[in-house]
Amino acid sequence: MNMLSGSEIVLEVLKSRGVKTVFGLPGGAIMPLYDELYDETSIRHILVRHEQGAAHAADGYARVTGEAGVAIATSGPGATNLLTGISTAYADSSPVIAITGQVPVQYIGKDAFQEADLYSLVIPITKHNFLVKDVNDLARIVNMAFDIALSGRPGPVHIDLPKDVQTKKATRKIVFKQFYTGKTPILSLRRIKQAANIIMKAERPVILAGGGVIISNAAEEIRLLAEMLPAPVATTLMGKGAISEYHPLSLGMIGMHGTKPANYAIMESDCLIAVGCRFDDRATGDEKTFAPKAKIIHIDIDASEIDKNIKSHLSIIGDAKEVLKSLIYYMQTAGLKKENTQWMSRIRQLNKDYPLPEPEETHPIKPPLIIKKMNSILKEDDIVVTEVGQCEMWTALYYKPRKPRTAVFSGGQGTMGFGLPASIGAKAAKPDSTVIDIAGDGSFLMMCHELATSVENNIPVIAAIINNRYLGMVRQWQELFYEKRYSYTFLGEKTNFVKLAEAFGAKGIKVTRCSEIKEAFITAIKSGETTVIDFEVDRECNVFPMVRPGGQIDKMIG
Amino acid sequence: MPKYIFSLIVDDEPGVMQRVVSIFSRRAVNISRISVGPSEISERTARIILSFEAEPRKAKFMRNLLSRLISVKKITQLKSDDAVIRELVIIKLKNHHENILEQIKQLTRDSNVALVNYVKGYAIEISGPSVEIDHILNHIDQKYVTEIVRSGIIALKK
Ligand SMILES: Cc1ncc(C[n+]2csc(CCOP(=O)(O)OP(=O)(O)O)c2C)c(N)n1
Ligand SMILES: [Mg+2]
Repeated sequence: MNMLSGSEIVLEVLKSRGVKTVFGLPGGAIMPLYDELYDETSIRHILVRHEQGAAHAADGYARVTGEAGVAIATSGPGATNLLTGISTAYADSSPVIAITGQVPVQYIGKDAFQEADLYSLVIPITKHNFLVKDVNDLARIVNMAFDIALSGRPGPVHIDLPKDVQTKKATRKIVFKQFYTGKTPILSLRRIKQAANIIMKAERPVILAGGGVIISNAAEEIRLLAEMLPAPVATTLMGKGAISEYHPLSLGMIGMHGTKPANYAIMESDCLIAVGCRFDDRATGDEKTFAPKAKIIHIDIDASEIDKNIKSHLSIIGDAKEVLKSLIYYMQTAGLKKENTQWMSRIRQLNKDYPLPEPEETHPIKPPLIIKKMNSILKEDDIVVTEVGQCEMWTALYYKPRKPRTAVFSGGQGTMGFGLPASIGAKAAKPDSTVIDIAGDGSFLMMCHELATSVENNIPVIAAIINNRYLGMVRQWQELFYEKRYSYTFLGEKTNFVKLAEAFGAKGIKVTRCSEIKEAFITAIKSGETTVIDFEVDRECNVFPMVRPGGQIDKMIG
Repeated sequence: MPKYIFSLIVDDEPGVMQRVVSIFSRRAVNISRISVGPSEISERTARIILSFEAEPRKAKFMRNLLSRLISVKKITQLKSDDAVIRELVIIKLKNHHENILEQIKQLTRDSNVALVNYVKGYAIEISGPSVEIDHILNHIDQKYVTEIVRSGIIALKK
């Protein structure tokens, strides 16, 4: 019988799992796998310029599809370059599968050339990880990696693959099957009923939708629940897209840079239905004063999130979609009849009294105006990814997604440099969607070389740089909390982003006036080319509203 | 702070201890005792018994975090009233002094600590609940002792 080599096994399993695109960069210890990829026609390999870019691209791919994203790197420095990307994926529960070469088994532990102890390094930033020592285990391990990454609360999985294991032939036939079914929690109907009873008695219910809603594809259930109660829906940063922000019950995002209606509604609520969120400190502010009047019902698939940051009155462990379905079903059969007229008029009032500040058409450009104009151009399947800083928070405040998986942020880690490669991953997965990276000038330079990846692989994304010449978010904090002592946050003004774009073979557009904003986006979209739009903006514009770090979320500045 | 004892069934593979231990170290919780041995369930699994002190909410958090680990198959919390909890101690004698043998026999008589072995002239082995072992070790004459080793605890639900 013709037995498969380790490299062949990896590719066979990837194909059997429906993987069509992988991101990576080769080196010595992963050459056998790359040699196999050379002839592989059904997997597209996208060559990045830095391994961190591969991890973020795989992450972006995973977030917009819900499927696993795959990143490949060589051993040692190639592998350690992936770490920031893996950690970013871990913090946002994204199913990334990272495969790295490793020195041959007999050299492991002897400080061989380009050996790094990835096995130990990734333990705290992966859902699980493997070191493959026997090619006969490989098929099981790669299959398990997919099952683990995608089941329950998703997360990255790392496979360390020694060079000799890639070339050795298996002596056993490979089997394709599911090896790990996840630790599926059993849904407690008793708790569903208890939750329904609390909700039905509530007069001021609010739904808080987190990233778990997106991951479990529960946006439809969120809308159903919201409309049937009725209850307004606030989201966390990761939950953006869980409800169309054009829906009358949408409040926008909560937290430090949340909207006033969202933060006020949470503080007034008597019943907070929190779905798939982990009550991060940026979302809750001071946890002691968070939602003080509310009975909190916490729905999450990960039991360790319950009572970790915020103590709940009732918790339901389970997949968000399943839990919401049963909850809705139970309340329908129990004959829920509620009006909440007063609360609904209060919500309408909040939305009317506290709209987002309307950016004026002044010169220099106020950054929120860019996001507002972008909204008017984008179609419902278009995708917005961001870098980190003010650019991200302006997007969180002003960008109005209509669908899940069309708003992509590095939430938990806030990784500068995430946006451009993640956009490339998103565009590779969704070639028919326009993909825009709302970038800060600081963040953009951390991964700007990935423009080459975008251009050379013909994966055209748009990088819209909010160019304030500052590490703006840090500068904002310095202005507000450090007496305007701008310690090392000014980036200088010599960097020419248009030339930088052109140097990579991308299009560069410079925008200085409000009247040119829309045009620039339209030109970029129509061109079908990788485009960098350099928006010269008001340098010291701040993101408002804002809650002081650790402050009470309805005490907002601005 | 309350004391907790967890008994884990884990995949017996390199690095599994690192996974378990890092859950605690990352949250600044000290594992006071830990022991590992093969489990009777299968050749590929091991049993880890560990104990630590924490507030109840933190202990529950630790348990949930451990149960997230793919390598952890089962977690049981053991409580002193419904589990047999034992620690093994070997006391090495100084200059072959046998003087404390009698002393230990006395001390173990009315306790749950058992004198399990006497390696003539070299060492005495005792086994029992940690608290009572503490008591005995505090009362023997240190001048006859060169070294004392204490195992982690092993424990079993009644
Ligand atoms: C890799 C990394 N390093 C440092 C930080 C800290 N940090 C957070 S926001 C920020 C400024 C980002 O500047 P820029 O990309 O220009 O965005 P702006 O805030 O100006 O919109 C910095 C340095 C970070 N989040 N990530
Ligand atoms: Mg900036």
